[in-house]
Amino acid sequence: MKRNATICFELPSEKFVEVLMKALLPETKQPTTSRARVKISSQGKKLIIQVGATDTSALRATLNAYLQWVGLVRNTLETVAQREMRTNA
Amino acid sequence: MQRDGSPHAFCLGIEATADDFSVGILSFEGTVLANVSIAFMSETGGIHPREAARHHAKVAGTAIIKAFQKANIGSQDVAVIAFSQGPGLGPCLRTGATAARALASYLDVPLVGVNHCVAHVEIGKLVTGAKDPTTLYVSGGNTIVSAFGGGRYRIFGETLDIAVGNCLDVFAREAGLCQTEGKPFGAIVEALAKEGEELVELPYSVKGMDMSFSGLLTAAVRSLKSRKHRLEDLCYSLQEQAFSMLTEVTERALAHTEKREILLTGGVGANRRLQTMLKTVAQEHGSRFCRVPTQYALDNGAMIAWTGILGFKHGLITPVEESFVRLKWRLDEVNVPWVEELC
Repeated sequence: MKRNATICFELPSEKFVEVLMKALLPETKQPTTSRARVKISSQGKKLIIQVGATDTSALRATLNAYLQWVGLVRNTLETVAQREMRTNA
Repeated sequence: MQRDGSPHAFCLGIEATADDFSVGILSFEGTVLANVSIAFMSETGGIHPREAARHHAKVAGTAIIKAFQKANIGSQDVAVIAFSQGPGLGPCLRTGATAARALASYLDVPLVGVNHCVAHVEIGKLVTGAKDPTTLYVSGGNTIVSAFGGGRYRIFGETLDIAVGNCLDVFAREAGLCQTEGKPFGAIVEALAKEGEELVELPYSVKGMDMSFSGLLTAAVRSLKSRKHRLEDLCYSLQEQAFSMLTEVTERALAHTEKREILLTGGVGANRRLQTMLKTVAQEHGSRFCRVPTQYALDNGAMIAWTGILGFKHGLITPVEESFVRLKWRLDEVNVPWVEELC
């Protein structure tokens, strides 16, 4: 892998990290291209995504996909959590 | 409210196989509490998979919260999360699956991966009351004639190339027509076809029990570009040829299976001309014609939720770590253990 990138997300809670890990792990095991590989790990409230790619295009496309999914999960969970707070209030 | 599968439990279903991101919430008894869809629409028509996926990621939270509001339930009332696992466009499926996995993990409830085509049949049966139909499922991505037999929905006829909805859409784009929200290409072609008078000669391709629409599309576009015919006549002729092919195959499947119902579903099922043709066939065979209302015939979250409930009740749970999307998951690869109980 010639191109590498590592992104570290600082998240609100360890549960959030755990949920994100579960949501994203199947995608790392079923890559859409042989030109990129992804590893996901966690350290407390930190989620770490490491991408290795054969070329810059594959690196960018993979990073975009994972960033999009992290945003999606964060948005979804925050929305549901707000709903829970209102329902319980 | 219970999370154990009792009648007061609910399933939230996420549909994201193509251009729609949709969330449905159903009770385990089959009552639709919410069915919220947000469609991706490109200016030029068609679906760019990555753009559609970006759209889905952006609107997912909004669609989910709207569904909860409409259903008037809390997230703690959800007992199962279902999602469209395939077939469909990779980036869209992955986005829907990621949202579903996250919700299932966060709420600590089971996840059920659902076959999109099976879901179309099941919601059709639920809302029309059909018990054991021969189904014609026609949309922008699928053209399938199926019926239940031996534990699965069997495919009796299908397209060999493009779907009939894709054929109509591409023709409309080639003709320079523009779709708007609530008025897709299919509806525009249908409106123009009503003004058609002359039947232009176009190929009719039924091969065995399968159909081919790409040659028909090419010939229609060629005729369009020759400027020898009115657009209205071409829309009329295109519809007549395509729908005759669909009707012929459906009729043969109906005769072979000896079912007593025809179920019409999918976006193209909203076309009145196709409905009329199938209704005639049903009458001639003493069968009931069941048309799925458009809100449930288009891709929707309710169908995923309902099929998720059926699967969950039969122990078909998808472990989150194995919830890979299946881009080419065929209808006839899926066991449907709940159906035999009904027949």
